[in-house]
Amino acid sequence: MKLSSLVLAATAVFSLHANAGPNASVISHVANNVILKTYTDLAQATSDLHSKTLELAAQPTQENLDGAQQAWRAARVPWESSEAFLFGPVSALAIDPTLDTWPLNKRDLDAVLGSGRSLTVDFVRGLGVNLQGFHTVEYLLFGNGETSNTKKVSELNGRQLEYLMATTALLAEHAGALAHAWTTNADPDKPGMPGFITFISAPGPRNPYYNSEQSVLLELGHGMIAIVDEVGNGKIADPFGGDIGSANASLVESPFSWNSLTDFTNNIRSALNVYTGDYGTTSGPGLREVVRRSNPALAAQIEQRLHQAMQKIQDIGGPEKMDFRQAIFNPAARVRIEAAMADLAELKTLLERRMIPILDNQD
Amino acid sequence: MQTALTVLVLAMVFSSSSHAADFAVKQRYSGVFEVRDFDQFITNDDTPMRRRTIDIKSVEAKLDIEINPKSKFELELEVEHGGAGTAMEYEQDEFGEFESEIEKGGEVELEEAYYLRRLTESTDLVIGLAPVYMGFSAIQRKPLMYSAAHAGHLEARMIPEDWTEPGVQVRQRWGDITVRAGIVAGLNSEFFRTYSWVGGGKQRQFETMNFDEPAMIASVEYGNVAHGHGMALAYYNGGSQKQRYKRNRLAKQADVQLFNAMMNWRLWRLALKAEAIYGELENADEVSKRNNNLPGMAGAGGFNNVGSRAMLQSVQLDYDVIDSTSLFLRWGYVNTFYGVTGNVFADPRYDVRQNGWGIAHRWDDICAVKLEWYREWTKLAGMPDTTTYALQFAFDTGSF
Repeated sequence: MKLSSLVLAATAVFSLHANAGPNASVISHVANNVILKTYTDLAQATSDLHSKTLELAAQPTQENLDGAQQAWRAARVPWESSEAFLFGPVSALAIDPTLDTWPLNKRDLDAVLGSGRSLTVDFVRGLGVNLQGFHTVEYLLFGNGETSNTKKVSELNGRQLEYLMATTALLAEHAGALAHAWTTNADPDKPGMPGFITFISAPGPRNPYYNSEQSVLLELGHGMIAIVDEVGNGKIADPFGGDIGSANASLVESPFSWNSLTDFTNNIRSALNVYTGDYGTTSGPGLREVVRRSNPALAAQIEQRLHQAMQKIQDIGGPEKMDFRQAIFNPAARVRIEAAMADLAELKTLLERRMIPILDNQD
Repeated sequence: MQTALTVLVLAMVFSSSSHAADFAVKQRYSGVFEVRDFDQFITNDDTPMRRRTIDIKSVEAKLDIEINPKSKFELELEVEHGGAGTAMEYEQDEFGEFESEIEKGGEVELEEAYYLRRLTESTDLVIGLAPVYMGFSAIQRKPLMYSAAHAGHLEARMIPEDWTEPGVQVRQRWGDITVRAGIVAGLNSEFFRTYSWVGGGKQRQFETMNFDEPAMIASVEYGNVAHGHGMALAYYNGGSQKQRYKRNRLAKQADVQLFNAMMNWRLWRLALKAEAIYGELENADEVSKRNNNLPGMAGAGGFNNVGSRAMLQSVQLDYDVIDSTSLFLRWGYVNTFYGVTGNVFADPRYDVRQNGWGIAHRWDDICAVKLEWYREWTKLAGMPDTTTYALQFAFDTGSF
């Protein structure tokens, strides 16, 4: 009773202020229908992945392995589509590294699998984050990815299945905790605190995180820039290297499933979702509406460039449909990679120089 | 950075006008410049990159202010890495792991600041930030006191390096025997890490240090270990649970116990330097678990697992070829997963051996050049060995 009263009071106080602002509908829509929806989708998808690995462990058939692989790819979509908003509980509660640390530490994983320890959820929880999360699951489900991204079920042994069950349970647990932090309680150390959605969707002077609509809009805008920067200058540029001789497959994200280009595309899609306010079957408003009020041509240009960036990333695979870990060693694909990187750099500059000043000017 | 330099300048001005204040002020300056050539791995890539760095590792200024025959004040400031002023450093260690370390106030550190009161001819009381008598790096604090590139090569994998803590200590001498005891600030278990065991627990992240669980230190020394003719036993016991900033996250005691035996003895042209450190961490599995989800600066980044027992051993043999030049051989071993409890995995990556040799040549009483090579390997299956060369220029203007 006391807790719910506190949540209601906090919501009421913040809401009074949020409703007064001109961008309240944008903020509320993006917070509820893009960010929160992405996280609830992630929680569901990781739970499905865990169920599929339980089925695989119970009946190790090729069909069940394929099903678990598909569930892994499906769970990647909401996670990679959330990377334009890596603020709030995902950062404050250090959930991001438990879900998506890469590269995974293969040598230590082999040592753990080779040990006599019982591979329970609590045991895996205590291991380093580079032995947990999506990429550990990926390695176990898809194999080493060097020459193929398919794996025969006969290659899975009992220890790997045991580890898979534990680590997917943890993955689902962490994703569930993230959704819970947004909907119900932003900080487990402060049980009376409402979900983060309450704070972000109702900025105002008494809000401890966002004292104005402008602060939320800038958080969203800088989140978009951060992921565009990370994809272009980190995820793509680091493995790409200075030349073909210094390209490094061990730095590629999702190298075992050959899902890298899909991941990168969904990263930019997360920026697009925040910008347009579109997610699934739901449509805007997003930051585009804020930009449009000041400069309709720029609003359209940014949207077009976000789509273009996604297409440039997809184009890297070329007619051979290769994934990124092959592309960095292919001279023709390297030309396409450089084009994608240049395009992302231009997009980043456009967002920084043209979009941010508009968001910064909002009251 | 600016504050520290201001303090340094003020201290020097103060020292130049010492006659007016009737204080006898002694100054001492020391430092190490280093070129290092080493193997570095990126995770999952077994082909090492050969890297080379050049570093003004440290420059230190120390003042000894004799207030009167019964008391003095000692102050030491250290500027690390040329005072780059970086607030965060990114390291990729030789095993392909990485860590980010946040330094309080950039890379300038007040290493020592204590008041010493001579209670009797043989008894001293030390109040303030003073060395903790534990490991060679804490007692051989100046680079000409040892011939290798570090005073205690592997100590930083297990305990705080160059360890100092604020508190109160008493020193009592009986002939060649010195007994020390003290109460100092304890370690904070939020910062215990896989790669440095309890070493990261030395509090330096925030402006104030938690003193909820003081630690007890004690040692017995025969002769003078730091200067090459002595042996010693040292002990540390302190809680680390209540020292945490988020105290409610760890409900169980996390006492740290350390036992250290050191010997450093010179005979004719030979010198033998050896030590063993054994440590225990209470409820290490619970500490590991609770450090797994710490946010922000305290985030362990996956290096939350720590052993319940750790062990370090090292031996170094020096031979003076001529008075100014010595050759040395050394062997070292550290395992911070010497014992584990609960769900903690004893990671063989941290069962490390390190052997090497080197030469140290003293140009004069103040300057020395050191060259050292060593090979390191771990018990983790398939992990390639790494080799390191270090060339150092070291100086130290005096002793007091």
